[in-house]
Amino acid sequence: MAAPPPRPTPRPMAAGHAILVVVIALLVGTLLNARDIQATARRQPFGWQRNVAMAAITPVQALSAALGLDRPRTAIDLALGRDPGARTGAAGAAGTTTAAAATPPPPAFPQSAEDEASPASPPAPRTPTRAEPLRLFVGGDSMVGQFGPALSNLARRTGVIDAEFEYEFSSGLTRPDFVDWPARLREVGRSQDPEVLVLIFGGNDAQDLKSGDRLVPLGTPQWRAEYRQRVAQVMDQLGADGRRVFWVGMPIVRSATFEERVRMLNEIYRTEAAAHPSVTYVDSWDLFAGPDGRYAEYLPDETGALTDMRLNDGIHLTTAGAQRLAAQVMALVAAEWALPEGGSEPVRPG
Amino acid sequence: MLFPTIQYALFFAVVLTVGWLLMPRPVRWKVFVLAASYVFYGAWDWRFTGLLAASTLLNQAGAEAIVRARSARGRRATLAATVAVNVAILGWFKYYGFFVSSALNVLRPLGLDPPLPLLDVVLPVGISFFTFQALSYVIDVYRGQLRPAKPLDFAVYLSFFPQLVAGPIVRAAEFLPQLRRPRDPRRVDGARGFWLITGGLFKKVVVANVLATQLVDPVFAGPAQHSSLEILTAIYGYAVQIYADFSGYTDIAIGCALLLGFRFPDNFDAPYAALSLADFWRRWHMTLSRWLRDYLYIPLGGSRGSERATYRNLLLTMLLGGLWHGAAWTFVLWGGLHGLGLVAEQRAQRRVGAHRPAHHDGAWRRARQRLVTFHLVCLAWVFFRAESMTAAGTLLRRLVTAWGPAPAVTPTVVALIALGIGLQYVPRDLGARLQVAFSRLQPAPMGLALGLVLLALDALGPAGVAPFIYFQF
Repeated sequence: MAAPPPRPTPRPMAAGHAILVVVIALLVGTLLNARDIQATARRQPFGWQRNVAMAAITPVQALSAALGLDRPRTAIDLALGRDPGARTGAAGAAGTTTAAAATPPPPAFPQSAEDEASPASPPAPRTPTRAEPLRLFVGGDSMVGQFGPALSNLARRTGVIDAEFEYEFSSGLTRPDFVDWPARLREVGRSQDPEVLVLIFGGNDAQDLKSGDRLVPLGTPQWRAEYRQRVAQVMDQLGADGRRVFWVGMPIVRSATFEERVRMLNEIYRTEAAAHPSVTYVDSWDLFAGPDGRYAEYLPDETGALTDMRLNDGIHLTTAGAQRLAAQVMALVAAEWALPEGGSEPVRPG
Repeated sequence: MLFPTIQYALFFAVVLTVGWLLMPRPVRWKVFVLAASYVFYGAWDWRFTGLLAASTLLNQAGAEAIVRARSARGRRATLAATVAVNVAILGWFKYYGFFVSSALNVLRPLGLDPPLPLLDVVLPVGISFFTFQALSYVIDVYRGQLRPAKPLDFAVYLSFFPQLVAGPIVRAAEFLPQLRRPRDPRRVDGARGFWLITGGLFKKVVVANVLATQLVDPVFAGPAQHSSLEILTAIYGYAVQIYADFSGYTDIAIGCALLLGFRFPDNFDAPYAALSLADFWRRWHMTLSRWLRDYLYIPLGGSRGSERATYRNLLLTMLLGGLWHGAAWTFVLWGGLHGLGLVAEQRAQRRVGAHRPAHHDGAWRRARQRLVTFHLVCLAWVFFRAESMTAAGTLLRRLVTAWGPAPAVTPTVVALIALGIGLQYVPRDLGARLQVAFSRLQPAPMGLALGLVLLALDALGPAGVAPFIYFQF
């Protein structure tokens, strides 16, 4: 019996050959992807690392554009239905409707010129029904990745809430050059016309920001004033549109340094919410603190069983943690709209 | 530092170049690679490097003490102490919260409230992997299969960045001999290395990340909002995602090691083409299966005792293998399900007395075996992926009760699932032939081709970097 033919083996190469291949591949890959790499560098926190990355990639991007080497990437982006050069971080969005409305639904609160000029106390909310469900939107940074689905699940269980959620990793209010949340929320207002917005920011906001061309270092009085103004701007904008807002503060975090920063952010959210009648600040700090008031990985769930509430980074929530926070927010929504909390059977997607 | 990032690409280009330049000076090479590996690991959290250094010192001291011990008893005691400290470290960092919360959940309803504080312990990346590698070293030294290495050699072995955080679990006996002799700079297996790196990146960046963001994560996060067909597709999707994610990582690791002149063992061999669960474990995370067999199953008695003892050993190995993956009961159940499946297979085989070689089975029979095995594996994956037993229960209930439209089942995710399963049936020769053709190219066209692949990978994958699933284990 003839022996099977030997399996073909690749020709070995010299180490220098391999190094050269790696260098050429990286150069070609960088030239072809320069615009996307530049966008990635641009969204880094302000500082020397971002400066170095930008200084390195900007001439490469210029060369790539001049030689037309960005065209293949543009063609792929267009073929995939993406806006070339407009990719942001990994995002998630999901939502189903319980009662799709063919025409734009009526606004939650009557709007008037006075309302837009000076946000007043919102009028009494309407009673949501299956035919005209309450339109709820959950938005913010990666915290919404766990919290969004959890709150949406609870909300939809009532049978009278349409819940949508949208989040963007690494986003917040300090870096509108990366994700412009005020603009995003205006777009959400136009397309979904939510009556209630539940927002979480802060996870990525503890970084330097730019006011015009001026770099404002984190934690300085100027930084606080600028950040406060941005928070107030979002609240003003949503209040003027007659939308009810639940602004969820950041939960307690593991890192002591980060904890201090989160306290500062929460204080801004809390005091600004107090100054905006259409906004309620939801304090999640204590909800995730242990009996000693410190960060706790394990807390009792609704059955009393000790459950892991936090992901390994000491910031994000597990599903159980997200359910804990969602229950708190849902109780507030249910109380305000007189809903049966978590009432009926889960609603099937329409 | 994550593999599919610009930072890693630059880091690797530097290490590759400097590494080969230093090859004629072995000590400098080792010091350089050791430092590079600590930079790689410290990029997650610099405090973790202290743990890695402590594990290195502990296990090197243990191995040397075993050899120095005068009596068999002394050697056994030293081994036991070293293993115990390793297990204690792993237990502290990975399982403390799990064990204490589980104990309190059992005791408190009985009216007992022991003073067990729930401390906040951070899980260091890759601790399960490097602890298992260290154990293989110490146990092999005890068994006389390996002499203790020089401290610097052992430090390089334990921290070597390609396999440090998510395997493959390379044994000291496989790595140290390669470290001792100089790698030949004229004979680098570059074609295979580049093939594995680009294939691994494709599996991770395109297949796993797209499936995760478009299908698996949304469905597992809110099963109540998804129909049976969506849930079924998400379970298949997760099976493909975890294969693409994990095998992609180890392919990149093996490829990078090859370019540096090291051969690592294979870690995956078309696991979803397995004919049985036993066959699956010969093809899935092969380096872990070997580790569990040689350092747990066989020391427990393996299949040398009675039939019952064999089943007990099998079940125990799989339960502990499940727990190795994560500190949660869902992982224990996952391991338990595989253990029960393996026991059932062995029982059936013994009863029939069937030692019929697989190749005597007809094509239909084999197709059926593959289909059944794949679905059993998928069923177990539900528990592996779900965050709690309740979530897994909800998912499985809705799998059969929630009929309705399935908007999440898009042509893209179906195509990726088909691709992921189809990859298991691609003949190995095809890849080998492509590597041969590739190896004949000059550096410029080779680099150009790989640059075009980088363009495609970056454009096709979702933006942002998702961590590898196996980092948490």
